[in-house]
Amino acid sequence: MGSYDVKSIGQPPNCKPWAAHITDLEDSDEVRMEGFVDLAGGNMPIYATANRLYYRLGEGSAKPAQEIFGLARRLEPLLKDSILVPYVTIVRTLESLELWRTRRQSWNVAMSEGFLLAMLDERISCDVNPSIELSDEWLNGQKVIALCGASGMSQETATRLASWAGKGGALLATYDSGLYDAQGEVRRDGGALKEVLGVEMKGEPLEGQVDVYYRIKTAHPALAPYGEGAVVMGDARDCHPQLRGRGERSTWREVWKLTTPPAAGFPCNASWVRGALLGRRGSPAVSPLCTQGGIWHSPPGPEWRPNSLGAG
Amino acid sequence: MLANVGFKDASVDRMRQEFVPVANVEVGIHVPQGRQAKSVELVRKGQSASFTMDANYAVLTLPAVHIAEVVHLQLA
Repeated sequence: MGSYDVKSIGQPPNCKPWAAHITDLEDSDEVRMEGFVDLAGGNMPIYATANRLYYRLGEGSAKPAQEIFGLARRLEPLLKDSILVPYVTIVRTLESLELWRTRRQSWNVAMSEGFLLAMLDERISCDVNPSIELSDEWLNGQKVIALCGASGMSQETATRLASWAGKGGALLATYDSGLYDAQGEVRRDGGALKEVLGVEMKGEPLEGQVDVYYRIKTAHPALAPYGEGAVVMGDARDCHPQLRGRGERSTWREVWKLTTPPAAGFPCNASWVRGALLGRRGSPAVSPLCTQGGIWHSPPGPEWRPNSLGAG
Repeated sequence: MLANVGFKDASVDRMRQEFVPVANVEVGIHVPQGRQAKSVELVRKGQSASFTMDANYAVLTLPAVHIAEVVHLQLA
């Protein structure tokens, strides 16, 4: 007996559909857990045939499913037509998923998952929405949008995001977001987000290097306890963007590669912390801003207050 | 509140999940600015619960959570 969650016809579910593969082993508490997970995700579980009951195998029971539906019925006035109110929404781009077409690799999925874990650790409400579902109406309801290594990006998506940010939306972007166009080719004009972020991408990430370390240049609450001067082992791939219009944009750039001084042209927003800090997940060191290292944000920028945002 | 502490890993021949209660789970719910928390109900348990205010959070402790609890905060 297993559950499969749906929201409503024509709308995507809010979480990954789940179905039991070995239904005769799924029972009682497992059904309860899946059911509550479905409800928590804004979905309504439906249940497959309880074949164990029909064929009198084992000690199967319909009570767990009945409990889920009983609670859903009691809470229907609250659950019906409920909407997610995330503080941050991760936008994954279709073009990143299709980067394989030009034999390139995107870290959009992995970095989004890392960011989501950091949000969970910090109890910051978070949602995920793919770029193909962006609309002006949806954008107008968003506070913060995070692009986590969203490598490929169509001009239409970039324009929408820039327009939304221009009206006060807070846009976070990490790693190589916007570096590639809709065809998976490198943008030679500084990247799709260069105007809104004030960061000009100077080409593709370098090939992997061994033993790469970074030194934090500026203390930030989000990096605690890694203050100024702290050294962490970083990701061996490196983006090399260049700031534009300093003083006009608010940009965090706390990290430098030890072996390559900034004068050599290596300001980086590489995914240094992805490996270094996620390995310490669960400690207070993990913060929403640390999952993929340097994060560029558009003005006016969100006021990050770790541990104080909650689910509001 | 989901207490997903089941362990299921086919590589070590554990195909079934077993859930154990988690004790003394502190819950903090952010109260929107300008609103006040009126009451808290533990829906699955069918009981009301006491809470305190800490800054903008309504805070309560659940003595035990087995699989899940639904905490319903009503605003004044």
